[in-house]
Amino acid sequence: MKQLSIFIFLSLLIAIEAYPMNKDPILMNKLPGSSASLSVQSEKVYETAEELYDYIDGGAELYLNYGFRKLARRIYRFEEENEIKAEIFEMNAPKNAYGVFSYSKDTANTEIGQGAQYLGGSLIFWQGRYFVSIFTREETNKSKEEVLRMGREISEAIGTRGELPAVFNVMPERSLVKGSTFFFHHHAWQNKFRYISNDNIFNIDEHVNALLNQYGNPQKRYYLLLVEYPDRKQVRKAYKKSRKKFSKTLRRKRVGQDEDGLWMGCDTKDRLLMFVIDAPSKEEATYLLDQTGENYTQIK
Amino acid sequence: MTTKKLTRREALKNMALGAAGSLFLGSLPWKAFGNKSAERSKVVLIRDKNLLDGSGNINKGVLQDMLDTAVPTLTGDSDAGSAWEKIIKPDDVVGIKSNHWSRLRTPVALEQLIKERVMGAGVGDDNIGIADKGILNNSIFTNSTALINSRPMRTHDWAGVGSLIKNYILFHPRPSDYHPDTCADLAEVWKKPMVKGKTRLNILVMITPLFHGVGPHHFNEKYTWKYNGLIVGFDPVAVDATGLRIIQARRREFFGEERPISPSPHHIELADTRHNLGNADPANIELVKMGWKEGILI
Repeated sequence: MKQLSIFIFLSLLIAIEAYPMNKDPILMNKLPGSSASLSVQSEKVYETAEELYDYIDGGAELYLNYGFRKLARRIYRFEEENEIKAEIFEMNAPKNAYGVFSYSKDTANTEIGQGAQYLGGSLIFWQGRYFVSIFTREETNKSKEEVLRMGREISEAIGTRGELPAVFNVMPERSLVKGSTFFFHHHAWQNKFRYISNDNIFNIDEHVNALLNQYGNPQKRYYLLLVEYPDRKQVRKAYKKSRKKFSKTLRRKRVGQDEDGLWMGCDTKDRLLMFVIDAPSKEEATYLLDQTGENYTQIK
Repeated sequence: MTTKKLTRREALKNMALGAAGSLFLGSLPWKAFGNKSAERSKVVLIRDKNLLDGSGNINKGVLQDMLDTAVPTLTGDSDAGSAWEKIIKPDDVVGIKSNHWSRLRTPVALEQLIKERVMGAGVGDDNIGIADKGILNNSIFTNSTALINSRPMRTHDWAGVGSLIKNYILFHPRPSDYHPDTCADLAEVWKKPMVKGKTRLNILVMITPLFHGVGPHHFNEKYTWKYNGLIVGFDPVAVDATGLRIIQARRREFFGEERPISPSPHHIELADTRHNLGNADPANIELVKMGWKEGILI
C-alpha cells in the first residue's frame, strides 16, 4: 500500500512537471483548445512583473504601465510545420486594454472585438479589459484564416464589452482621423504622432486620462491633446506649466501662430486641459477648443 | 565587394590617427574606452548589396570582407590584422557582448568572425567569451579586461531603440533600475567598474534593422528591411546616433510622413549631453561611408 502511494505521488509529480497546472484556468480557457487543425504545444500564465520581464524581453514596461494583471499564452502547432501563438492580457480596466491596442496598432482594419488590426500574420484586438494578440510564424491564406477564426472565438469567450470613460467621446469628429485616438498616462508617449517634448510638461501620470487625436490628412496633420485630471486644482497647475513650456506664443493668448504659420491653442474646461497643435488656421484651432469644451460640458 | 579608395589626404590622416593611437597604451586610441573627447568621433558605415542571399541568409565571406574593411578604416591601418592588434592585446580577457533577442539577434556568423579576429590578435580561445544574458555569472566577463559590443539596432517599446548603449543594461543585476524616464540614463551603466574603460570596439548590426514594432513582442518582418550594413566605431554614442538617423530616415520613407519614434530614444542624446559618454551630434561625428550606396538613407 505504502509503495503504491509513493508510486502515485511520484507519477503526479512527473505529470505536474511535464504539464504545469495553470495558475488561472479562467483566463487560459478564453484561448482555444486543441482541435482538428490546432494542437496545443505549450501554455503558461504570467502573473508578476518579473515573469513578464522574462517573457516579453524588452517590452514589459508598456504593459505594466497600462495596469497589467496577468497574461495567458498558448503555442499551437498548425498544420505540419507552422506555429501560432495566442496571448491574452488581462488589464485592470477597459481603457487600459484600449490603451495598449491604441499604442500597438497602425490602423483598425478588422472587425473583431472592440477594435482590431490584422497585419502580416499578426492579429491584435481589444475587448473589455482584455488585449489579445495572435501571431502565426508563417503567413499563408490558411494560417490567416485560422488566426482570424481564433480571434473571433476568443472574442466570444470574453463575451462582455468594455465601456470607456466619457472623455473618450468629447473630441470633435470633423476632420478627425477615424480610429486615431491614442490613450496613455505616461508622458513618454506624448510624442507618438509628433514631437512635443521629452519633459512631462502636462503633468501626465497614472491618475490622468490623456488622449492624443490626429486630424486632417497625411500631408497636413494636426493634433488635439486632451488631458483629464482628477481635480480642477491639478488642471490649473498643468495649464500654467504647459503653456509656459510648450511655446512662448501661448503664454498670453488662447490661440496663436508658430514660426511655420501653423496654429496652436490651449484652454481648460472643468477638469480637462485641451491643446491644439499644428492647426491649419486660427478658425480650426478655435473650433477644436470651443467644440471640445462644449462636448465636455454636455457629458458632465 | 566595393571598397572606398582612400585619397592621399585621408591616408595621411588615418596614419596620423593610427600613430596618435599607438602612443596610448602601446597601441590603443583612447576613445576606444567609450569616453567623450573634444575631438570628432570617427564612425565607419559599410554596406554590401550581396550580403544576404535570396533566402535572407548571411554570406559569411561578404560579412568578413565588410568587417575586415571597416575595422582598419576605423583604426587607420592597411589590413585587418594590424587593426585588431591595436584593439586587442594578447593577454586580454575578452567579453564579446552580443544580443540574443530571438527575433533579431547578433548574427552567429558575426560573433564568430569577431572571435576569430580577437584570436588573430593573440588571445587564446579560453580567454574569449560570447554572451548576452548571464554575463554577471560568466567568468570571462567578470574577469574581462576588454569588451567588444555588438548588437542589431531595433525600435523598442520602452527605450525607443535597442542600441549599443542599451546593450550593456545586463551588466546591472536589476536592469529595471534603468527604466525610469524611458531609460534616459542608460549611459550610467557604462560607468560601472565591470564595464568602465573596457570597451574596445562597437559594432552596430544594420543588416535587417527593425524600424517599427507592433504587438506584444514588437516584431513583424514587414517592418524590417535589407539595409545590409554594419556601423563600426570606438564611440558607442556616435555609432548609435548614426544608426538612429538611418532608422528615422527609413520611417519617413516607409510611412510617407514624419513619424517620431515613440517613446523618444533620448538615452542616446543624453549619453552625450548628460553623461559625456560620446558624441551624438552629427556635427561631431566623422562618418565614413563605404560600399553599397543605393538606399543609404544618410
